[in-house]
Amino acid sequence: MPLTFVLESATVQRWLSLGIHFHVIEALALVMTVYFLIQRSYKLQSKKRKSSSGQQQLQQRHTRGRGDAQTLSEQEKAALIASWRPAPLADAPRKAEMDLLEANRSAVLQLSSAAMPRCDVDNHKNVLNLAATNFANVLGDVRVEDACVRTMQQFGLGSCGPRGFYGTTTEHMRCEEVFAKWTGAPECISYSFGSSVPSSVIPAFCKRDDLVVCEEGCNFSIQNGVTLSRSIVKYFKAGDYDELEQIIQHVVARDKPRARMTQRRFVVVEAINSTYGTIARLDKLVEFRNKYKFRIMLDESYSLGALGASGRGLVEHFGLQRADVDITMADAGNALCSVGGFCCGEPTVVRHQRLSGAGYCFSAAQPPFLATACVEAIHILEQEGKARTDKLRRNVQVFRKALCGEFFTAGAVKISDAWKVDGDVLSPLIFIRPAEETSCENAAALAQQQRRLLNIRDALLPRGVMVAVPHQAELYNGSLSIPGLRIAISAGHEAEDLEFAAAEVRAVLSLHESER
Amino acid sequence: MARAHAAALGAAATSAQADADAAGSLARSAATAKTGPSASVAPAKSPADVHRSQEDEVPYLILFMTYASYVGLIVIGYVRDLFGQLFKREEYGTEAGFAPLVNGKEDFYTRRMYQRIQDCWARPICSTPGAWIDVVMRRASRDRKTLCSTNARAHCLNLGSYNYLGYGEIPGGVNDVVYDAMHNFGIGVPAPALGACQSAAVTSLERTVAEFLGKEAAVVSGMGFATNAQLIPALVGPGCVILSDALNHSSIVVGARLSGARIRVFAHNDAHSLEAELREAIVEGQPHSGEPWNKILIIVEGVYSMEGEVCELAEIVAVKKKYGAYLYLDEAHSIGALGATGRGVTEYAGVNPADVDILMGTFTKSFGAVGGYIASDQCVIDRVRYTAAGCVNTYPMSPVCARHVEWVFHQLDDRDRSGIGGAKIKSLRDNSIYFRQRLEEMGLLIYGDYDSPVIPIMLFQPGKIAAFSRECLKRQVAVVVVGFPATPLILSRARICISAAHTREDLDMAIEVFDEVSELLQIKYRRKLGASASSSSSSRITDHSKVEACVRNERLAPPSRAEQVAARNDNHALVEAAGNESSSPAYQKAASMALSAPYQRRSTKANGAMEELDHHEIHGDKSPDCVGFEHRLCNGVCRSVSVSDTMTLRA
Ligand SMILES: Cc1ncc(COP(=O)(O)O)c(C=O)c1O
Repeated sequence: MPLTFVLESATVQRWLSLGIHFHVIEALALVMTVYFLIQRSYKLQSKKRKSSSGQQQLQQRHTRGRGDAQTLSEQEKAALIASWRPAPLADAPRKAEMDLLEANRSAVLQLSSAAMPRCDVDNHKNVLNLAATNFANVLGDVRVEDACVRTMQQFGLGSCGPRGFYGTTTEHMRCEEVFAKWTGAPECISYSFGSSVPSSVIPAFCKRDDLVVCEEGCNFSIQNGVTLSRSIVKYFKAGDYDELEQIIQHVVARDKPRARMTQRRFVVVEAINSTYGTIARLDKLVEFRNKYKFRIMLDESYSLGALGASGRGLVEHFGLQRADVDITMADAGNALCSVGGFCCGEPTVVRHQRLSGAGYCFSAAQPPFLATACVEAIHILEQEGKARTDKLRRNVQVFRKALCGEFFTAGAVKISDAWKVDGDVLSPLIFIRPAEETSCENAAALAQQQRRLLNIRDALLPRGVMVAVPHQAELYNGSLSIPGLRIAISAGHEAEDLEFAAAEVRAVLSLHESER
Repeated sequence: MARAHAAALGAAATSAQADADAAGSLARSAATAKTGPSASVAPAKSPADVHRSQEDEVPYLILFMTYASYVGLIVIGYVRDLFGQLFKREEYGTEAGFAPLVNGKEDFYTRRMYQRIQDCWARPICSTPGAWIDVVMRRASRDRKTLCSTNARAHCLNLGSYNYLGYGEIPGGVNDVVYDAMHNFGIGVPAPALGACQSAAVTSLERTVAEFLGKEAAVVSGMGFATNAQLIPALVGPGCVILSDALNHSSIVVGARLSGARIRVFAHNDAHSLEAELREAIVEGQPHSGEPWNKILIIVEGVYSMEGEVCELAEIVAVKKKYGAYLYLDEAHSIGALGATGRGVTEYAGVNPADVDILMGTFTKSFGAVGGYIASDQCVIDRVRYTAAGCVNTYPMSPVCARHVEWVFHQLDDRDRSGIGGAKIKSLRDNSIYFRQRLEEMGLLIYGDYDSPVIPIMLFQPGKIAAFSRECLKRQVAVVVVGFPATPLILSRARICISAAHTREDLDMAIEVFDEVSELLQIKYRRKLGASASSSSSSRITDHSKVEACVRNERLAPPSRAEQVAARNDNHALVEAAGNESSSPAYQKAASMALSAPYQRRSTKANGAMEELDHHEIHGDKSPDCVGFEHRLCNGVCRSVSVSDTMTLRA
C-alpha cells in the first residue's frame, strides 16, 4: 500500500517518465561518485602519510640523511635537538656572496631628482646620467605625465587586487591592446613587474622533461624561470650560434623519426644580452626554428625603443615578422620608463598565462597610471620613433667613437692594456670590463674587481658622469656575472656631452690601470 | 601559569611600544585579551583536532553533490574534446613537428571548466577600486572563447578589492603628494638600485617602514610577489630548511623553491605540526652527510587570504624560540588591517616584533599602491640589499607609489594629527566584525577569524560558483569567487574583502542581497547543519572556554586612567573623522555619543553587558549575535563603539 502510494506520487512518475538516456547518465554519474567517495575514505586514513609525501614532491628526492633517524632513541633525539645551533640569519646562504657584501656596501647612490639624462646624485648636481636605460628619452615627457594624472583622477592610484579579482581596469586592457599593436603581435598580457615576466612565462610553458636552451649571460629572471620550470637546461656561449646549432643538432639527432613530438623545446635569448651587450641574431634563430622545430622566446627588454627603424625592437631590426617569434617578453622599465612587464604572442600563448602565469595570477595588477605611462610612451614612439632611434644610434656611434677610437665599428674592442669594450656596435648598452677575464669561480677576486669598478664609478661622479656597475650575485646555476661598467646611452644625450663623458671615462680608467 | 605567561607576553608587547600613545594603550588591552585565551586554551587541543582539516568538516551530502558535479563536468569535457579532435583538427592540432605548446591534459581544466564560467573573473572596471565600482559588462564573442566589453556599466558595491583601509579611493589616495612625486622623481627609475642609483623617495620609504614596524632597517621592492620570490633566496639556501605553512601564498612557494633550501610543509596554522616537523628536521640533519642544518626558516602569513584566518603567531613564536629557528612573517593582508594602530598581526597577537626575525608585507592591499618590503635587523637587510639578485638587479618601485605609501604610513602613525588613519583602522575592524556576524546569523557557512577583513563564504559546488557571482552582480554587488587552482577542489568559496570605506548602509545592502541569493542557491549550510556543525566550522574564537577566558581577562584589567584619557582623545578623533566621508555612520553615531555622555557611564554599561553575557553563558544560549558581541568585548578595542553599536543592533 505505501509502495503504490510512492509509485503513484507525481514526483516519482515524472522521474520515471524522463526516458532511458536520462537514467543511464544518472546511473553512470552515481557509479563514478561512489567511486570517488570510496577513494576519499581511503584518503582519510592515509591523510598523514599523504601530507608527508606531498612534501617530498616539493623537494628533490633525497635519500634519508641519517638513515638511522628512526632508530635513534628519544633521548638521543632530544640531545640532538638541544645541541643544534643555527647559523646567524645574516650569513650568506651561498659562500661566494660573503666577499661581495663588503665590496657592494655603499654601492647605492641617492638619486634626488628624476632619472633624466641629467640628474642630481648624492651631492653632485646636474650629473650626466649614463646609468639609466631611458633609451628613447621618454622619461619626464609632459604628455606622459598629463595622461597619468588623468588616469589617477579616474582610477585612483593602486589597483587593489589581482587582475582576476576586479584589478583589471579598462586602462590595463587598452595598454595590452596598444602594446600588441605596436609590436605587431596578436595579443598581449601585462604584468605588474618586469622581472617577474620571464620567471612566470618560462615555467608556464616549460615543464619537467621539456628542453630550454639559454644564452649565457641572460638576466637572472630568465635563470629563475628555468630553475622553476625544472626543464632540462643547456647554455650556449653568448653570440656563438654555431654552438647553439650543435646543441640543437645533438638533441634532434636522438629523436625517433616520425614519432609524435611531445617534448617542448625552447631557445631563450635576450635581444640585447644584459651582460655582454651583444645583439641576438634573430635571422639565424628563425632559420633554426623552422629547421629544428625549436620555439623562440625572446626577451626584448633592452631592444624596444632602441633597435629597429622605428624602435619596434629586434624583429623590426631584422625585417622579420613578430609571428616568427613564438613568445616575446619585455620589461616596461627601460625605454617605456614605467614599471611593469609584457608578454605577447599568439592568443593561446597569452590566454594560457592568464591562469598559469604565477606573477600574473597571484599578484595585484599594475597601478593603472603605470599602464597609462606605457600607453603614452608607445604613442610617442609610434609618432617619433624614427627620429628618436636615429638620434640614439647617432649617440651610440659618437660615444663609441670617442671611447674606442677608430676601431669603434668592430664590436668588442680593447681600448687599453687593461680594459676592453664589449657589446654590439648598435647596442645602446656598452660594457667596459677588464681585458683579462677573472675566473667566475674565484669569488674573492671577483669581489675585488667589483670594488675596483665601484671606485671608478665613484671617481667619475665628481667629474659629472654617472655610470652603472651592474650588480653581481651568485645565481642559482652557480655563475656570477662578469664585472664591468655599464653605460646606457639615451636619445636625450647631446653629442658633445657624450664626447666629454667618453674622455672622462678614458681618463679615469687610465688612472685605475695599474691598480689590481 | 598560562595566564602569567600571557601577561608576560602582553607586557613585552607594551614595552615594545614605549611611546604608547592613545592607540598604543588600547593595543595593550587587545594584546592581553587575545594572547590570554589562546595561550590558556592551546594545550587543551586534542591530537585529533590537530590533524583535522577543513575538508573533514564538509557535510557528506554536499561533498557528494560536489564530486558529482565535477564528474559530470569532466565527462562532458572529455566528450567535447573527443569530438573536437575528430572534427576540428586545425583547432586542436599544433604546427607540424612541434610539441603542443600546452598539453591537452594540462589545460583541460581551463578549457572545459574555467571557460564555461570565465565571466565571473577578470571583470574589468572603469573606476577606482573603491567601495563602489563601475563594472564593465561583457558578452561572449562569436567563438564563445573570449569575452568582449560592451558599453554597458554596472555600478556595484565592491566586496572584492583589497582596499582594506580605503586608500584606493581618490580622496584618500590621490593628492598633491602623488603629483609632486611624479614631477620631482619621475614615474619610474629605469636604473637598478645597486651599482647605480636609488630614488630618494624609495630610500625614505625604507626608513619609514623600518620605523613603523620597530625594526632596524627595511628594503623595498617593486612588487609584493617578487619580494617573496626574489628575496627569500638571499636569506636561505642549500643547507637550510624552510618550514612552510601548507596554505602559504604562491609567491612564498616560488621563493622557497628558488632558494635551493629543503622545504618541509606543516599543517596549516598548526604550531604542533610545526614543532613536530621542526624536531624531525633537526634530528634528520642534511641528507647524505647528516650534518646539522645551517638555518631553519619558518614562513607563515599574517592573514591567510583565502581562509580569512589570522596566524597563531604567539604559539608559533613560542616554538620558534624554543628551538632557535627563524621566523618570516608575510603580512601582505594584515599590515595596516590588523592591530589597533595597523601594525599587523604582531600587534594584534601581542607579540613583540623583535621576536619575528623578518617582517614582510606588500603595499598593494591596505596601502592602495604597489610594491613590497622586508624589514629586519640591519645586518640581515644589508645582506639582502647588497647580494640579492632580485633586490638590486631589478628596477625599483615607482617613486610615485613610494611617496604615496610613505604618506599612508604617516597617517597610520597619526603624524598629521588628523586621526584619519586610526579611524580607518577602527572602521575596518568594526565593519569586518559586523559583516561576519550578520553572515553567520544568516546561516552561511563561513571560515576564518573575527577581525579578519577577509571573509570566505563556502559554496562548494562548481555550479554555485558561477551562480553566486552572477546573481550578486545582477543585484549590484561585485564579489570574488574562487575555485580549484586557488583552493582545494571541493572547497570553492566566495571571498569577501571588507573595506573601511564601506558604510553601514553598504554592508546592509550586501547582506540583503546575500540573503536573497543564498536562499536562491541554497547555500545556508550552517543553518541546515544545525548547531554541531556550526561550532566546528566557525571561527576559533567562538570556542566556549575561550570566550569565558576572554571575558574574565577583560575584567582582570579594568581601564586604567591612561586608557580612559586615551579613549576620550580617541572620541575626539572620531568626531573629526566623522566629517571624513570614509567613516561609517556607526562611527558618527558613536562619536556623537562619545561627546554627549561621560566615559564612566558607558563603561558601566559595558560591564552590564558583560553580566548579561555571563547570563547567556550559564544558560548555554549562544545566539550568533551574542557570539559577535562577546568577541568585541574580548578584543577590548574601541570598547565604547562596539557596545553602543551592539545596543543599536539589538534594539
Ligand atoms: C600572502 C601574500 N604574499 C604576497 C602577495 C603578493 O603581493 P602583490 O600582490 O603585491 O604582488 C600576496 C598577494 O596576493 C599575498 O597574499
